[in-house]
Amino acid sequence: MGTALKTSRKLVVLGTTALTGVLVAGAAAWACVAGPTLLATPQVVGAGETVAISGISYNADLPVVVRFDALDGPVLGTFPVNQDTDALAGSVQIPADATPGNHVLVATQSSEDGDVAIIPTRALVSVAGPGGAPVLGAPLGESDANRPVGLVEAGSASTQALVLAGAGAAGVALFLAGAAVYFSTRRQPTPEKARP
Amino acid sequence: MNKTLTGSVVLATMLGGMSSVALAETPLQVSKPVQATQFDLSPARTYGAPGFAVDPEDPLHVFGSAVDLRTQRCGLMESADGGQTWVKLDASPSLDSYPMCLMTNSHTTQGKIAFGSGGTLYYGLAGWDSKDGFNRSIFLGRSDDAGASWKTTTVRDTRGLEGENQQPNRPLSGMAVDTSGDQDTIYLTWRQQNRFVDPNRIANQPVMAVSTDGGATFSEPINLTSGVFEDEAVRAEALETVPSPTPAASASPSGSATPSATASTAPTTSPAAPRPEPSPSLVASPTAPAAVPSASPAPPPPGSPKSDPDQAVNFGGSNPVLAIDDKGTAYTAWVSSYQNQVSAPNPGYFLTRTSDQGKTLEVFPITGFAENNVNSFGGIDMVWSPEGGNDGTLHVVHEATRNPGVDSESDVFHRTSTDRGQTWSEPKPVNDDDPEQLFFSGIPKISIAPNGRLDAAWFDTRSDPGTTSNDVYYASSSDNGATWSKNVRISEQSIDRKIGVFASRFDLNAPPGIASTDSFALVGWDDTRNFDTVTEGQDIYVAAVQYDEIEPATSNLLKYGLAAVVGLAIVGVLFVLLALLTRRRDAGPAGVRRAAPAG
Repeated sequence: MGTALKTSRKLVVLGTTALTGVLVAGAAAWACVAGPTLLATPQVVGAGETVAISGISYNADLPVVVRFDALDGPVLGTFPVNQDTDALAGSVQIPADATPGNHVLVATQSSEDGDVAIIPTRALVSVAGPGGAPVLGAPLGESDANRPVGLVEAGSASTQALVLAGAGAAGVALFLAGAAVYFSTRRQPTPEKARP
Repeated sequence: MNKTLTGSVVLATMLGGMSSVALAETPLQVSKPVQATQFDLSPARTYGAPGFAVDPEDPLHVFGSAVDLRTQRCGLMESADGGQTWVKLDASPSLDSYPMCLMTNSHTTQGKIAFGSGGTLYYGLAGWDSKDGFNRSIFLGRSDDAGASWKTTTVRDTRGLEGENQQPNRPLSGMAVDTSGDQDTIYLTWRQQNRFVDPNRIANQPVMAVSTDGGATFSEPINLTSGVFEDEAVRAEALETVPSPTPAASASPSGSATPSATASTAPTTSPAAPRPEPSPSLVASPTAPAAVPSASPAPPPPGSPKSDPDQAVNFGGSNPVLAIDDKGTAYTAWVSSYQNQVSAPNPGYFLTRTSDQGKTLEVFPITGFAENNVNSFGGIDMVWSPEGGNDGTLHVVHEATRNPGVDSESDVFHRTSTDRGQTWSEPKPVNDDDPEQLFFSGIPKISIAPNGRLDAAWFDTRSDPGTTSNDVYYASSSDNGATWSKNVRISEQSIDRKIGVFASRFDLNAPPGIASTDSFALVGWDDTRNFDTVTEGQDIYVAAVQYDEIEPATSNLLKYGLAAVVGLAIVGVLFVLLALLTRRRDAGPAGVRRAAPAG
């Protein structure tokens, strides 16, 4: 049993890997190039600590400026882009006075006149609280988990149940009344004929 | 029982109609997204965003294309309850000999579905097998039994084309069905690419094939540019947008033409045979050299496409989408694309119109080669509305930017035309995020409900906390596009695009699907929440923006209960009748006797 499970798991992993390989090859050959991306590692850090940053698909002719929390936030570092791979690699120091919770690194590239030249990229970092414990900030992506399920119907289920119960009572009452009338008629003795 | 139910339906419909007037602009609710692809338990499932088709006879009956990007197979899913639960149908429109349908493109729905007359369901799809190289064929599936079985017609068969003659017909970007005639007229549009090599590489072309017999046969592909780029002034207008002077721009013989004058000139009208031979520009030149890129710095041979960027063969178009009006006129919107340019001109959006199933074409500019157009391979969608005048209104949504000069930034713009595409309104942004923040809003889709409400949905990064994620956003218009609602977030949690094939190294994405009914708009998208960076899968999720209460689907239990109650009531009435008859029978003879004359 265990061996069969292991075998099937291996098959799934192998199949997934193979199919992914096919898809990657196909996509790499024909698909369009997506926009730039930015990643920060590790994602949980302490204030004043350093995180590694990396990214792809940048404009190789322009330096990347990494800021803290906003498009016009404090600059944490400026980095060149690899001319051959359009990739970004480096590290930045999180401000020592950063509050515990979630923060965003924002990477921008600007032209010589100072205007932003490529869509900004953002990477999440979570600054740990006292003692190095991770602190949750604002919910990521502001998950809205309290949505109503399904579509609103005209007439609720309880109304339907009431209608059904009422109709049922009426139907049964009609049945019983009819039966009572019928059987009482059957049992009623035939009036004796008038004798001369 | 029938009368009772009918009465209830009529009353509810009246009440529903009254409430819809009051609630037309404000949604009752946005429902919690449901996993439509629960029917698939494969850990490797990787579905693309679906296309939807709503049953004209029953707005709760919805079909969705279910295309697994990993197995590259086209399927269909069905919902009978307004998208709350789904089943996958066993049959596929793909032919056994062309089993794969994946189109490795962004900004386009894999698998196009639409209803025709009499409940016929159509499925437009690509087809290929591993032996086809770069060739991609086009097919149309037709089902007269709600997707239980398919009869599939070949629209464009490229199998066997070799070398430079190979034809990657992808993506299949548009499908529309005109149901006004005795038989359905079906239009399919796609981008026709070529495999020519330097110096004979030419621009991609937007093409259309037409069936006037319900999908039994199709015309040869018709080039939707219809020679618009034979006009030197149009080419000059495009080339003038190249940022720095290039030999191509300076060599343009009509560089003095003013762009605005060109954009507003009379339409380019040219005849097109219903079954024309492929344009010479779309087939390989017999004298073309072998498929070996030249390493020599020598200039390209005179007369070759690369020798002069300012040639019609270096101008084309991509990703044509379709709309049909109530007179059977077909409209295609497409975006210009280029080849052999030192620096690509700005994209321009065009509209091609035909009132005779493709025999003659008229081309009009929608946008010109505007600086804020950001996408040369699609990012456009179109619908027609009967409102707005005798000719109705064409509505286009397309990607453009409020911040020209910021690479990869995009917004969703809306334009209208009330003269059948000849002139267009100024663009208005539909997304209402802060333009200063430079978020991405793009890959838009537009749809129209029977009551005229316009629904638009797109992908948006405004809620991305820095995790390379995006969300599905939505807006609606109940005044024929004059104003748009506040944007509504449809996905209740951001979609992690570090997982799956939407972005990163794949870029296999499609606009959110929309099914528009009077009561609700159903929005569907590809979602990675059930996967990780190892499995890299995607599910289809759907949520409804509801404007009006729907008629409850009567459950079988309720039906049986009502039937039992009515049966009891009928038996009761029968008892009463029997009692009356018995009493009359018993009393009858005495009365007769009493009436008889005494002896």
